[in-house]
Amino acid sequence: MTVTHFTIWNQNMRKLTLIPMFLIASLAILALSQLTGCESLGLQPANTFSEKLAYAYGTHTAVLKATTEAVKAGALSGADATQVLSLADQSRQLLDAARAISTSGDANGATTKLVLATAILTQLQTYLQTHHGGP
Amino acid sequence: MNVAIALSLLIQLSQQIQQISALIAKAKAEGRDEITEADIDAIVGDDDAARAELKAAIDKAVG
Repeated sequence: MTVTHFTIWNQNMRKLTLIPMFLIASLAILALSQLTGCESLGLQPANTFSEKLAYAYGTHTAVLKATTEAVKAGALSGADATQVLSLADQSRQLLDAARAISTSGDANGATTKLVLATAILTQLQTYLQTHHGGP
Repeated sequence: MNVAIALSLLIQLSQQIQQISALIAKAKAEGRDEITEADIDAIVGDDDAARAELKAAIDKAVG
């Protein structure tokens, strides 16, 4: 490899390293917009419990769909995806429980369930982003 | 970081957030303080469909 080729290769590698940084920043912005409501991005803030619950269900769906795409693309093994699904199911049970409890009037109990479900979803997103190795 | 999965997750999150944001905006436009139970039922229905699709993909991958 000549010096010129190395310089071009080096420049391209620097550009590639910017992609993960862009993704991390984008995901952070999305996460923040869910938590605090970022109207400057054209998104509606989650002010009420049902709106926060709706965003949490949406995040759950996004995790499931991203996992499906990863399995279909061979980026995630069936065994790993099964573990993701198992945790996602736990999160879904907590979301369903939060919804049921909120209708019975126990706001604190519902919020606790929602926070737990969100914590699992956050861990799943981190796992998916940092997963290495296919089937 | 797995760029492909992270990008897929970013796109899916973006789509879901925009969809739910639109429901909240619609509720406000109609003078409601809350999204309806029917709205949440629809979101849950989408989630059930996504789960079924993932389960099918896993079954196919495991063989």
